[in-house]
Amino acid sequence: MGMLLALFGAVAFAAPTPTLTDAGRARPDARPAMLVVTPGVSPAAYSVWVDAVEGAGLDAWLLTFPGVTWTVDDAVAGLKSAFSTLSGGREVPVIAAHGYAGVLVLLSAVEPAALALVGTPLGPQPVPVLTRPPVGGAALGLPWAPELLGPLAVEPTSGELGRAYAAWAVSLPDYAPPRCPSLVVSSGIDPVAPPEVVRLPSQSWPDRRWVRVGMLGLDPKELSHSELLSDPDLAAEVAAFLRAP
Amino acid sequence: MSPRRWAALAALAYGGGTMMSEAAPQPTEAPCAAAERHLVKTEDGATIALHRHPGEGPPVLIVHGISSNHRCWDLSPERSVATALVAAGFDPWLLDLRGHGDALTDAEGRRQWGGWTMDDYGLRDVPAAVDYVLERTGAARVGYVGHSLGGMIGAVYASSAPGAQDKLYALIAVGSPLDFSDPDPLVSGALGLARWSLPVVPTDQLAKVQAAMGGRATPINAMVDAALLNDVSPELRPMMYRAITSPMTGGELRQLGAAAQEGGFVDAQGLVDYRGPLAKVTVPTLVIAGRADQIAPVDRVMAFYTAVGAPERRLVIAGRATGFAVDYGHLDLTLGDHAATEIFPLIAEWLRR
Repeated sequence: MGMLLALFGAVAFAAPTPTLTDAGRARPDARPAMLVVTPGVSPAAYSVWVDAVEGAGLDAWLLTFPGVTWTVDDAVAGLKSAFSTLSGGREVPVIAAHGYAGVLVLLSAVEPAALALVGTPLGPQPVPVLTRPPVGGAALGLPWAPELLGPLAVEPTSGELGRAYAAWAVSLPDYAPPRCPSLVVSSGIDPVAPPEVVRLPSQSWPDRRWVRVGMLGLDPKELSHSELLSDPDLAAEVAAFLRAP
Repeated sequence: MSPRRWAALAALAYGGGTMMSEAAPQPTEAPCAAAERHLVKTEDGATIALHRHPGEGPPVLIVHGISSNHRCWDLSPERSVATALVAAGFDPWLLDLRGHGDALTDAEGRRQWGGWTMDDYGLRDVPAAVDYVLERTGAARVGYVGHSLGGMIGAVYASSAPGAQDKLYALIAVGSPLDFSDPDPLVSGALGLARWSLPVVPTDQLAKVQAAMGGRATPINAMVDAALLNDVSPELRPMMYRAITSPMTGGELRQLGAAAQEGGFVDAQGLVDYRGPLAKVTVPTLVIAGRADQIAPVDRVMAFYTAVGAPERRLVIAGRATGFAVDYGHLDLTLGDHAATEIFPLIAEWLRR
C-alpha cells in the first residue's frame, strides 16, 4: 500500500515536461535552433520564425510547455533538459525567444552559440504598469489587456506562470548575463519589454547587439508585442543573426 | 545597412518641394496670445522674449524645445499649459530663446542668426529669464517647465548656473533626453551630418512646406508626423507646424552630434557631461516621458530621472500601459488632444508641492 501511495504521489506530483518538436523539415546536419514558445502563447504564432530560421539554413525546433501545471522552476528545468537533449551529437544550438520565454532562457543559464531575445524584459519596469495577474490555477494568454499587445494567438497556461509574468514587471529574478553573442530587440510601443527594460539592463552584457524597431531604426514600422513575433522582416533579421552572429 | 534602410534614409533626406499642393485647410482652433510680451537682454547682449499670462500665484517659467518657440506650450486657449496654470493658481511666463519665436530678432530688430550653443541657452538665456521674472514678480523662486531641449537646458541651468538652485522651487522636464548611448541609426545618421551644418537651418521654412501639404498622405509628411505626433487631430497640424517652428542653429546640432558620439549630453567643449552635475540638484524634479516619443524615447529620458539628486523626484511614462488615454508622442506632451486633461494637471500638481 505504501508503495502504491508513493507511486501515486510520484505520478500525481511529477513535474511536467516540455515538448521538443522538429518544426519544418528535418535537417540533422544543420545547426539546431531552439525556438522557445512562451507558455500561454500558441505555438502556431511562431510559424513566421520557423520559416525564417529554416530559410537561414538552421534546423528549427519548437520547445513548448503544454498544460496548466507549470511553475517557473519546472519550466526552467525543462528548458535546460531540452537544450541538453538538442545539443547531443550536434553543433551547439542557437536559441530564439519572444517575450517572457526569454526570461525563462536567461534563468536556465544555458549557453547557446547565439541568443536572440525579442520583446523580452531584461529588468523591472521603472514605473507601475497595468498588468492583469490571473487568479486561480489556470490562465489564458498573457497578463495584459489584449489591446495593449496586439492580436496574439494564445492558449491556456498555469496561473502561477501568469502571476510570475506580472511580477516580473516589478522585480525580475537575478540572472547571469549571457556570454554568447546576443541580439536584444525592443519596440517602443511594447508594454511587456519597452526599450528602458531591454537596452539599459543589457548595456553591460559582454557581447550584445541592440535593435530598436521603428523609425529610429530606419524602419517605419512600429511593432506591437505580437507583431514582434509575426513580422517577417524582423524574423529574417533574427534568423540572419542566429546564422552568423 | 540594408537596402530598405538606405531607401528610408533617402526618403527622409528628400525634400518635400516636389510635393507642393494647394493651400492647407484653415486651422480649426483660435491662435493664442499672451497678455504681455517682454523683450529681455542677456548678459552677452542677445535678446530673449517672455510672454506672460498674468496669474495670481507663484511664477513659472516655461521653455520650448529645439526648433520651436513658446507656441508649442501655448498653441491655443484649449491647448495651453499657460491657460491651465493660470486656472491652477500660477503666473506662467513662456520663454522664446534667442533666435526663436519673438526673439528671432533682437530688441533693435536685427535678426539673431546663430553662433551660440545649448550652453548659452542654459547659462545665459535662462538665467536672464529667471532673474527678470523674479525681479518683476517679487517672488523668491520660480518653477521651471521645459520641453525637450527646454528640459535639457533646465538641467544645464539648475546644475551649472551660479545660484540657480536657490531660485527654483520645482524643475519639470518633459520629453527631455539626456542619454545618447547606443545611438539609433536615424539619430546617428542625422547628427552625423551636423558637422557640416549651416549656421542656421531653416526648419521653420520646411515646416511651412509640411503645413502646406495639409492632410495629404505623402511619404514625407507622414514620416514627419510619425516622428512627432500620435495624438494631434489632423486638421490642426497645418496651423501647428506654422505656429510652433523656429530655425535650428548649427551650434545646437553640433552639440547634439557630440552628445550622440559621447553617449551623454555634454557641454559645447565636450568637457562636462551634464548628468554628473545633475546629481547636485536637489530641487524637486518631475520627469515626464512619452511612451511613443520617437525624438526622446523613454529610455533616453529616464537618464534625467536617474541623474538628478533631488530626494523628491518622480518619473511619469505617458502611455496606455501606465493608465493614459494614448501613447504620447513628442509633441503630444505639450499640445496633443489629451495633454490638457492628462499632462497639464501633472505639471500643476508638481508645482503645487
